[in-house]
Amino acid sequence: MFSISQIVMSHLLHPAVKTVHYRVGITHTAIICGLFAFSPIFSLADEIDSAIETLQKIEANNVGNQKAISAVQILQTAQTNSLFRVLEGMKGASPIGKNYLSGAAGSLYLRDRDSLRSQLEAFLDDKQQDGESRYLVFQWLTENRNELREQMLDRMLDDPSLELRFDAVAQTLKKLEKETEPAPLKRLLDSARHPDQIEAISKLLKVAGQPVDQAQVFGFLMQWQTIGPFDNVDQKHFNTVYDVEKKLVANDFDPKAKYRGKTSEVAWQEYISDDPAGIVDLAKVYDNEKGAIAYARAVFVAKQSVDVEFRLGCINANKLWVNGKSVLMNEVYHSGMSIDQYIGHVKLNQGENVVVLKICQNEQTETWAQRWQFQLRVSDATGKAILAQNR
Amino acid sequence: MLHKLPWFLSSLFVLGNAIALPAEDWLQFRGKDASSLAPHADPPIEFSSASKKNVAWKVDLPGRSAGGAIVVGNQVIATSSQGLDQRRIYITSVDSDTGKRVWQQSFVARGRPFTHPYSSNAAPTPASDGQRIFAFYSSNDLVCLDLQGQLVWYRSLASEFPKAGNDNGMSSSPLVVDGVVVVQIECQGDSFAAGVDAVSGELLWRVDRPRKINWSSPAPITRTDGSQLVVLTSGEDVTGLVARTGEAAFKYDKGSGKIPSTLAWQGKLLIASNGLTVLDCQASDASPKKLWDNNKLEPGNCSPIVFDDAVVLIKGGVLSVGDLADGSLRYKLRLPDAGSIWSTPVVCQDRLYVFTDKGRCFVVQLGKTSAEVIATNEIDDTILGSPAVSGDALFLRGDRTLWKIAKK
Repeated sequence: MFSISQIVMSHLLHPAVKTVHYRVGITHTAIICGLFAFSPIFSLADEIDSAIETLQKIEANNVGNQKAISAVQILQTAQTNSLFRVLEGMKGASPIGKNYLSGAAGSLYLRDRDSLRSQLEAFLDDKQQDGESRYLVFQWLTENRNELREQMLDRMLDDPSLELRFDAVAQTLKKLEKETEPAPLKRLLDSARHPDQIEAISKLLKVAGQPVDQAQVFGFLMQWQTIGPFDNVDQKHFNTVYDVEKKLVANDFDPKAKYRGKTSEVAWQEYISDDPAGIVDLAKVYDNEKGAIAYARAVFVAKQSVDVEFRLGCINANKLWVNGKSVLMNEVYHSGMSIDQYIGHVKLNQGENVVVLKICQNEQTETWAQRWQFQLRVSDATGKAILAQNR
Repeated sequence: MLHKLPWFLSSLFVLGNAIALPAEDWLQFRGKDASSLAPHADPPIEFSSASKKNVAWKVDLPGRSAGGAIVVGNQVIATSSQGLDQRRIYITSVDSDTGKRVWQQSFVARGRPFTHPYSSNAAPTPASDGQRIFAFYSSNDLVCLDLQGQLVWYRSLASEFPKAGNDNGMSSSPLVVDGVVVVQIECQGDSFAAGVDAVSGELLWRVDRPRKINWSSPAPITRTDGSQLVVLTSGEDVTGLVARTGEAAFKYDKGSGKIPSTLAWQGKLLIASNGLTVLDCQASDASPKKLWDNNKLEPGNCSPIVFDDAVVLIKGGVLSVGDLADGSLRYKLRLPDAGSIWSTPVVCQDRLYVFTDKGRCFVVQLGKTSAEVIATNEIDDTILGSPAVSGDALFLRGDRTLWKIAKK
């Protein structure tokens, strides 16, 4: 039932687990002593490190899951001061691995909530550690301690952990709900990364007499060229590569070119959004056409080559290419739309980068299924806007 | 001590224990057999959050939920989500007697956590096989913990099938049948149902489902040959699968409502189709046969219930009761100022507890030919999930809280 090392650990390290293993009998104590005598290289530390390493590598397709289950059991029955190695192990772990390590850390913490407090505080202060592990620790430290939570969050407005920063901004935002001075709101706007919070602070700044260019704060792309409508009756053409698409993806763009559209010849037209949320309203441009596809093209001039995120909000089926490379593909119609709904990672070239969107409308007749629109912004990994030089 | 007592006193002692039934577990959405019935439970008829009458305890939870709680032994288990895009997901165990937290674990959602503001990433009700907890989220994260809160296994089904999800929020609750955790993930992207081994977390099977949004939950049914099936309903079909293997056992080519879940009751299936349709599904060697349908007996958001020989339905604040044998309407009763009702009611003894989204609870005495509202109670909270029942208590999952309604 138990691995030797688990039994060793339970005997040597953890009294709670000992009681379980007493049922196995006392003879294994002798076996363990023998193992130590004859296996000098046997190391509990190695087994813990090995378990952490196993969990760090769990892949998205769940390969290695059975190993993960064994590894997490090893960690959960280890000495409670292994907690810090587990928390440190979350740095660089795969997303799935982080959740396994988080579960193991949670179990270790449950066994010994009080004695680790000062070490946990030090861990939380170490901003080099993984953000998710620090948030876990933050939750433990502030459980049922509202005053401490408030004090800690006051210092976390610029924390590298997006979760901590989000909570910190939310707390300050609540305090500033009736603020009429723009200065503290502007400071808070600098810290905010989440769209909902940026939107809320922008509204307060407007009331305080210092409206901000919300579209610029977010970094929405406002200048577009669009063409359409092309046929999408029965939602059949999400994967149809129309001539215009072939040329756009190959960066063969002729603003004067004309194409055969759904019912007639179609041409490029300019669209400049004046919406604070950067909405490009294709339904308006194409007279609420249903069962249709439109393409949109923009040029983003980057100051330097840099890793960025393209963050799309779109209520229709969509595809995004940047510099001819496929970045996003979502065949979903009328299932919600929000800023930063879909995120794709791109390395921008210095200078011109060509952005192409394919936005597909279906033929649903419900009142809530009439929108045909999108909003696209460019940001760093934290959500801070990166603005184009040609904005 | 017992053996020293006179025999008749010993008998009384034993009898007394037999009469004081232990509190039953409530292991999943709609409880035992997903029936919404708790025939032995006797929760208070009157209660109030304002006066605290019959509120045994109320505890804060770390985030929001649109699902219900479950009860395993003396633990009440609830899920929550909060924070950045509701990505932080929780499983919390609370002592059913004291309301004190026993343990809590938190993880980060790896699938799409977005939902309508009314709902929550933690919309599905968790499930248990009595030894493990299975917590499922709109983001398609599936977490298995033991009863001490230790992680047994974890799967991010959205990482394995990246187009699974819907940004209005998923809410189908998991179901444990024959040692298999069954999840129904129906959406416009990767749309499927899957069976995951409850012990090992291995994916036992996966079947494609219609690529349309669906929020209904799977239902369990055992056929005459003893085979344990899980019934999936969507806007296009009613499908029975062998829970262990995912093999198709039957298919009925008519769709059902996308929100209410099917009730499997003594070999019959009650589906939200053409009002309410009842199928005979008992025989293991035959496809389901329609027994009757009645468009005057339409479930709204709530799943149907069978009490005695009657079907009990709620739609738009109106209670409809029909005859299970032939579908004839017996009576209707309007619940005053009901507003929206999302939570499937529960029947305790002969009383129906109906919760509105605003926390109003109608206690309705169900009769053969009529029903009567015998109490209207107010809980100052949003109630979207169905109550769990254990002992003589109701456990309510509020927006950010958990309530125990019981005589103190």
